[in-house]
Amino acid sequence: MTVYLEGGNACGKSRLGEEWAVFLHRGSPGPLLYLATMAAGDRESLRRVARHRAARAGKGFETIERPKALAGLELPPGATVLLEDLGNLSANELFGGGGEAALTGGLEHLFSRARHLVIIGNSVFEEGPSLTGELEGYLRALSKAQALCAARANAAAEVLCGIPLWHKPPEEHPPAERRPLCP
Amino acid sequence: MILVTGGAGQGKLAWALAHSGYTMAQVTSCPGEKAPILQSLEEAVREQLREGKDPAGLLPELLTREYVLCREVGCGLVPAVPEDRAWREAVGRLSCRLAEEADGVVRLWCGLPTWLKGGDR
Repeated sequence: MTVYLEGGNACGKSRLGEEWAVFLHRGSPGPLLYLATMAAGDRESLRRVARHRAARAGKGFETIERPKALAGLELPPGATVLLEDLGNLSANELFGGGGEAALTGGLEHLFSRARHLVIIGNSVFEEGPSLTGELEGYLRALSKAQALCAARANAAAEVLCGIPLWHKPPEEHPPAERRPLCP
Repeated sequence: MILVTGGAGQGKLAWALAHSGYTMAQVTSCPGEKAPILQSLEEAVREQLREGKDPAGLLPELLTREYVLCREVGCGLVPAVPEDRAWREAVGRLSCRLAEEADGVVRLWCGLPTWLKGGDR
């Protein structure tokens, strides 16, 4: 099953994604993988990574750091994959030479190889007017990749204040969600 | 407490007034001031950060309100200025905490409310 969760900064989408990945993985013989795409170099992003690691600790994830070129990633059979996140992956591909083809190819690879897939997307489209051409290109590519994920996903939600609003409701869901909320 | 979220100009205040029957006389944007409706929480968070305080410290007082209005500020590109990044992070995290504690959470979009928690769900 593929689940797509999209939200703005600090909206609680990571925690929800972890909950979903653990839920989908239950009873599955394959590994539970956290596919981290942030190329962390500076202190601020290292702090972010540390916070995410602490939040994941004890939930059974094996972390794979892979900022780009997902198409070449060897996935063990039956893996449940939590991909975080499309905003970073798109930036790494577009500004790091891979381009849109590598972005889409990497996603297709995950769609075909993962047993269960949880994808975290970024709501970054409510930005002011002063965008340069490069950033506009980024937003276009990201929105296309995210629309592809939402289309392929069995369930897709917008995450607001930690609460999923299901535009494509799931048939089953973690027990913490009493019933899927739709617009 | 009902948490009202949504982007700028989406109708949070108009909805809260209509839903409660209160007027602007019952609205404040200052955490120290008594009123059933607190609006512009995002600005109060910015003030807390400026003063070097943890915005989560506002939580107990916010829970005594009937309505807390907070603008969604996390749906743009990563801000260039570190203070702005810290601000939107703090606003997002505090909103998640408030949503956990709130009796109701409403999201306003183009003037239309969606109950995310409680209410007529």
